Amino acid sequence: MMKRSLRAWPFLTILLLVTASVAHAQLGTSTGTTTVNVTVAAEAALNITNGTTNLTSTGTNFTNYTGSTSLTYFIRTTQSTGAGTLTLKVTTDFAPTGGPSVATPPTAGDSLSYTCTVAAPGTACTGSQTSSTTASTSVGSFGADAHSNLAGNAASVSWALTNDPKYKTGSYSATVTFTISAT
Amino acid sequence: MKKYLPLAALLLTAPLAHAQLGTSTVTSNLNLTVAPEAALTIQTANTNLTSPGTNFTGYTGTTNFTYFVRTTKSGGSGSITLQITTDFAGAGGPSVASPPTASDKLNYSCTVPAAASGTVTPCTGPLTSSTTAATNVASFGADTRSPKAGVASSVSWDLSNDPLYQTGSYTAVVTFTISAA
Repeated sequence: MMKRSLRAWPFLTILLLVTASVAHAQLGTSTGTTTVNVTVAAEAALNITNGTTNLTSTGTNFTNYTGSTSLTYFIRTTQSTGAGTLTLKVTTDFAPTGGPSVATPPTAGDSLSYTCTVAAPGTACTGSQTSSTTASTSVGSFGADAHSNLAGNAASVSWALTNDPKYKTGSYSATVTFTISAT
Repeated sequence: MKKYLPLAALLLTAPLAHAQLGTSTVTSNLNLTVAPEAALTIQTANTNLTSPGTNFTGYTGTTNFTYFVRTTKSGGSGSITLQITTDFAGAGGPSVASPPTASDKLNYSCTVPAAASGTVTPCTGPLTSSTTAATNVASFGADTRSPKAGVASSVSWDLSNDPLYQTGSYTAVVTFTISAA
């Protein structure tokens, strides 16, 4: 019995040495790695360059009031099936009353219309669009796998507001909201 | 009778010979050289970078790790560094080595608390990671010793969200290295 115990000592010693080294390894290693994962999704954003757009008339013969709003857009659409839109909506109609109005103009044909310029990869709206207080109207569109630059791409809207003699003299303001989206 | 004398002599000297083998107490010197050492464990094997919105905010995330260190008492030093050992895979996405826009970066800042003794200096971020060079996460002064449980630390990432990236999932590998002298 005693002899058997003595024989076991070398094995126990080896076992102790092995487990001791394993215990050491548990504190760490000199290098470690992490895998950095990122999922790049479709995104879109824009900045309005001129927060205030002044519409002016060039003469005194009721030429339309015109002006331009510039913006910078950023977009990334999905590679194969993606798309994007850039729209605007008159979210606050002209105030005070007695002047121009998008929703209830003094004359039925009065309108706040606009044309669009959208740098590639965007496609600008075609022709003259009539803005609305109830619906978003197109400024531009984007196809699949569309990418702006990191600094953004330029776009602009050129406005034309009917110069109706019925408008009372004074200053009027409206708010237009631009929205960009991407899928 | 004479012939038994050698045997008798042997029996008498045997106990004396035993006594020469040792004493009831012995001493042995245990010599140990404690050298500078360093190790780390990464808690976040997969670091997911996410963007909180849809307006091209940078992709951010955090890698947690624990460091163990012992530097030489006088004149010792140590460091933790990281390097992008595998760049983001897949063409059209983010890249540390060749980003689509020159200013695109995978930046990071460091949170590396003090050890039990000595000095620990975390990186003053944000720093820009690289595929070609190891960049600083922290440095250790002489006689810096962590607790046995290590010191919980982290690196916070910020990847540019460039519209030029194609949609999809991308993966890179970052290797952290710790050393002590």
